[in-house]
Amino acid sequence: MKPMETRLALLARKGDGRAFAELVHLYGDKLYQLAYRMTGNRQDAEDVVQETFLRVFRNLDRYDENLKFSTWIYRIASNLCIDRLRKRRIVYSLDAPGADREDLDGYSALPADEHTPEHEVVLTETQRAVRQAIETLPAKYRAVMLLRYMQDLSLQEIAEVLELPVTTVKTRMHRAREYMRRKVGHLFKP
Amino acid sequence: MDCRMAVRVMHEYLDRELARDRLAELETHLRGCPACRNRLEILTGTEALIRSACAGREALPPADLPDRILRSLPAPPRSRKWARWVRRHPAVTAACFFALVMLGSWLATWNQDDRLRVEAGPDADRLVIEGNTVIVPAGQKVSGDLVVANGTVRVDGEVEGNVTVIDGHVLLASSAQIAGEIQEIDRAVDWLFFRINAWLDKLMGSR
Repeated sequence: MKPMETRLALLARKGDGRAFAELVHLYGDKLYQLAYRMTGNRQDAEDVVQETFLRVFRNLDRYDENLKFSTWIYRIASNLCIDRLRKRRIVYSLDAPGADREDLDGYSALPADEHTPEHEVVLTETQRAVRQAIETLPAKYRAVMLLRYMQDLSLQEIAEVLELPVTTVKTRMHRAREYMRRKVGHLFKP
Repeated sequence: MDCRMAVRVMHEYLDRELARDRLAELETHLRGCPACRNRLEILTGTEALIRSACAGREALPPADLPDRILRSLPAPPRSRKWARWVRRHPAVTAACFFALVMLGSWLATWNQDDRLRVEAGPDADRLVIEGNTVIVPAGQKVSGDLVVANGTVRVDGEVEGNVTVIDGHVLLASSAQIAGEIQEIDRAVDWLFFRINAWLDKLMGSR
């Protein structure tokens, strides 16, 4: 028996609109959270989610049933996020000297939107600081970190999503964790 | 285990990928090294902070996002099934396409002329043509094959090769002598086979 998502994808491939709508409801929120954390921006998150589903829809024919559906859809979404960050890096010059990137190279920080709609939970000071630290992580580290801690994927799954060797994912995970330790470790009070 | 190694092993522990015997080694090191103990504690704490910061769903997608997504989808293409097949079998598709084009051109040449056509090799001038009838007159001898399209063949004399008639028929007089075979072809498909066979024969012959 194939997992439910895979079955839904196969039904959608045959033109079943309700199956596709079900996938949108199952993954819309998760993808939005991931994209929002990745891009730090509502508009981008929304665009990424829309674009992801459009690509999924267009490429249902090419979906390999042996791949977990979640792996496939996260792959599309994280690639879109990383692309967006890469483009944004060209627009804004974020390579200001003295930025605390430490040993982490590559594209990074983003202009987060400040406004907070009423329905949103107010973050604690600590949570806010951690969020900000995550946002200063370069995209390739942030992707690994968010897939691990937000989406609860295993290192193996992350490797499949990002199409990287597991050893690379491990290295990035370790570096990201060390970076976060230096940035926010002092906030931890047992 | 030195401190450097201990830090690497800590991360593997946090990845939940640490083998039991390595864990024992790490514990031994930690017992004697307060700095590493502290480091692991802070790393574990950092992990907890990250989880807590990521868990909040304060960034909710707009409520109408799913609807907008579904409305923005293009209409599903009709020819899905064969398009998928085509994508999976490019070589077969190319072959089919080629065959189709070839067939098309064969049919075109076959359909195109309904005029009388005669192929008779060197002895063509011995034939008599009356309207749509090609006659091998009595006492005359055609040394090669005779191929006639869109006409009737009346053999009163002698043909040393095969007689082939496309969309027509053969009339034999009692005096007729045909060394080869008589073939009447009525349909395009037969015409095609005939052509291919003739071509193959030629190919074999030329070897």
